[in-house]
Amino acid sequence: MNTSEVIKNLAARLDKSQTEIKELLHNTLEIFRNHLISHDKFTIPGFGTFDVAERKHKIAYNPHYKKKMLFPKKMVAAFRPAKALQENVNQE
Amino acid sequence: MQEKITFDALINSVADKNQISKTFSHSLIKEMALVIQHGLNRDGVVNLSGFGIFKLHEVPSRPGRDIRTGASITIPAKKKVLFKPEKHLREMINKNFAMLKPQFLENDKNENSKSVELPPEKQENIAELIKEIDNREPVKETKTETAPVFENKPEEVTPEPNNHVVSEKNEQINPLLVPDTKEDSKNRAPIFISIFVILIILLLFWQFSGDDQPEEKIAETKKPVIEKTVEPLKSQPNPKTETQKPPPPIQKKEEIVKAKLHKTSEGDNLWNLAYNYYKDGYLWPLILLENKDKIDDPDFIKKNITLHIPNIKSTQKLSTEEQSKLAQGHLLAYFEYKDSKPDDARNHLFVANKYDTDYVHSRLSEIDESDLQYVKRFSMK
Repeated sequence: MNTSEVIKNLAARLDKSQTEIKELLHNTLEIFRNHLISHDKFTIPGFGTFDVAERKHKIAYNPHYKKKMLFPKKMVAAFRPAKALQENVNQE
Repeated sequence: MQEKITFDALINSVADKNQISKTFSHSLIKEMALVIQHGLNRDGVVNLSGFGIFKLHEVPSRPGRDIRTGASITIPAKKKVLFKPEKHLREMINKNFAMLKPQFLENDKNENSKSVELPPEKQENIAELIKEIDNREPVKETKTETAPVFENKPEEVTPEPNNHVVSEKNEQINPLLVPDTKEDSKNRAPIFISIFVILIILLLFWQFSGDDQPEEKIAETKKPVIEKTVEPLKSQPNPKTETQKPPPPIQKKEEIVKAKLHKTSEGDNLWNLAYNYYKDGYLWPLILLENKDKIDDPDFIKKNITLHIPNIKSTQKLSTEEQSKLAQGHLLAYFEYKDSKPDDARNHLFVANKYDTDYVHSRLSEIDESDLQYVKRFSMK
């Protein structure tokens, strides 16, 4: 499912025009983005939690150069699905 | 930095941003979650442009143990929801550590080091480089394209042609002299030394070859030779001060060596060069712009070519001229990456637009429409 399909579905459910929904979705996602960029944690009940976590530096082997490499620490986004979503996805 | 945003605050900010009621923004987010859930159930993947991708990952059943009893059980297969942010968002999240890059470990000793600083060997190299640069006299920016050829030649070769020029002119010009400047004396010191050494060798040769000759003759030969050597010493400045039209080759070479040049070797890349010279890897487009005719691919620099490293006054605060140059460099990188790495290219365009909007607008016709829209979207904030 891609963005346009999401917009179409949302427009049908909320009884709004697709252009309106497009704008709303864009703004909402921008808020989500900005929260993630400022490393904030937020939850959408029944869906999941968005969070930012630090990955420690690690040493790994690069098979191409046959050398060990030091990968620096970094920040990554983490998403933990809510129990409801996890169960819903797994039901047959 | 890390703050917990309550759902209530989230709804409020969405309502404010969209100028809709709180109840509607609540239902908007709820419905969004439901639609994504529906999409996951239907396709197993939901792609939201500008945010990221939600994916279902199937975990197969695997053997495990009951923690309480220790009896072996099989953990049933399940589907996991994964979220991967878009590349741009990922980079923005990691922007605090973006300057840290993966590095090869030279020795196993470095394994324990926690910081990601350069290994000591590299630091020494850099220190040497800096010393070299400092020792050179102030950089003159009048650099010619032929620089690389000259730079490689050892100094010993240079005195000879100069020597001829000097001696020839010496005979023509009357010795009305201007006092030596410091630079001149520096330049010529090796020449005189070499002349002197050659003469001494000749003398010694004579002495040994002419064993049969009486000592008086040797004494006689010595005198004129020494006088000859003294003469050019005094009359040296003449050719340079009086006839400026044919500048001696040495002066030209000096200037070129002074300019900041870098001969590429294995393992060099633009980022590291910028880091070494400017202490800021993000300035690499400056080097790219300066050497655009020598670099075909910014990711691959050829070995043994000489790059010109432009001078900047301060890495902390760029002047407007340097900013526009940086913008040009980024735009150049955009054109280079446009086909191979569209995402990177867009980021370069974005940065170029940030540094010098006018310049980007002057070349609007060459830029893709979709990339422009991308830039506009992210530069709104």
